[in-house]
Amino acid sequence: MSAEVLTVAAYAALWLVLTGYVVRLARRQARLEADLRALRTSQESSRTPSSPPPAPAARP
Amino acid sequence: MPGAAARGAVPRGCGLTERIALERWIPRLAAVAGVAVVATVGLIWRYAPVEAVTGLSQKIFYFHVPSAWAMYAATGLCAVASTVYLVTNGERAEALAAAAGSVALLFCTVVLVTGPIWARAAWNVWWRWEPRLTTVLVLGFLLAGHAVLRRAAERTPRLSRFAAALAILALIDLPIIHLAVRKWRGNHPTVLGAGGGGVTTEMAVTLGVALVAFTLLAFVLLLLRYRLETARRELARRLAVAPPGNPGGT
Repeated sequence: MSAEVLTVAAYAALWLVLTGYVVRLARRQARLEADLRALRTSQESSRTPSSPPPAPAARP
Repeated sequence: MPGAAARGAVPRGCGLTERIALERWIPRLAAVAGVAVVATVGLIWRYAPVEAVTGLSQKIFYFHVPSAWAMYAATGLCAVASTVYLVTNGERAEALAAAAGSVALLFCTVVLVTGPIWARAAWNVWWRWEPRLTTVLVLGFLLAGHAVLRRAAERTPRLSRFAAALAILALIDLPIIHLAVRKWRGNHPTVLGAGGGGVTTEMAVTLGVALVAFTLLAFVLLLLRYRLETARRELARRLAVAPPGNPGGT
């Protein structure tokens, strides 16, 4: 195998590894942020005034 | 349930101010790192001369060496953050250790992939069981083990302490890698420092720019990974306090 081919292969490997890492990070970040948004929305909607108030404490 | 709330002692969390600072600085630093990496590629192909003995394959050196430097720095940071985590049980230190370990494994992979490609061009073999290569491979295994333990610690927080101990063990391997060539006289070339030579001014300038570019790149990747880790922990914390039956909390 010639030095030229090996050098190009090394560059390709570098960019593949780096790009793969960044893409994987971006995907995981997007998924986490979507989950966080959904959770915040569901937590906030459970605290809205339209939701029924907590049951009053039982009187003695 | 994963996350801080599942632990006996609840570690200190990652604040909102920190997240805002991360959101502000990551794009700026990423732009600077991008420009530096593009400049490095330009210098490698347009400015640095083709080496007389090894030919074009010597250009692998301009990103193999900076990757090794980034691997050293990230491993060192991972070990320091792990030590702080073991002492203080701080969540920031744990998140930083996870991020640094991940970046260290990334650059170790680059080193372990590009090294054998260069070896094939220079030595006509892909691999030699010589001291530096073997000790870097050991570091790769330690970092991979650290990553696996970190992943498992998302479900079993007790494993975080084992991961921290493994990171400290990886730190011990760094001076062994560095001194391997001198102590055991392996085949790995020593270009910089005592015993090195054959580097022209153009080569030194290109390598210098590449070192700065890869340091910036590693720092940006560290911040991105740290941001991911803090988001994961926030989600785990919210899931831990979410009421049962909540769609997002199951």
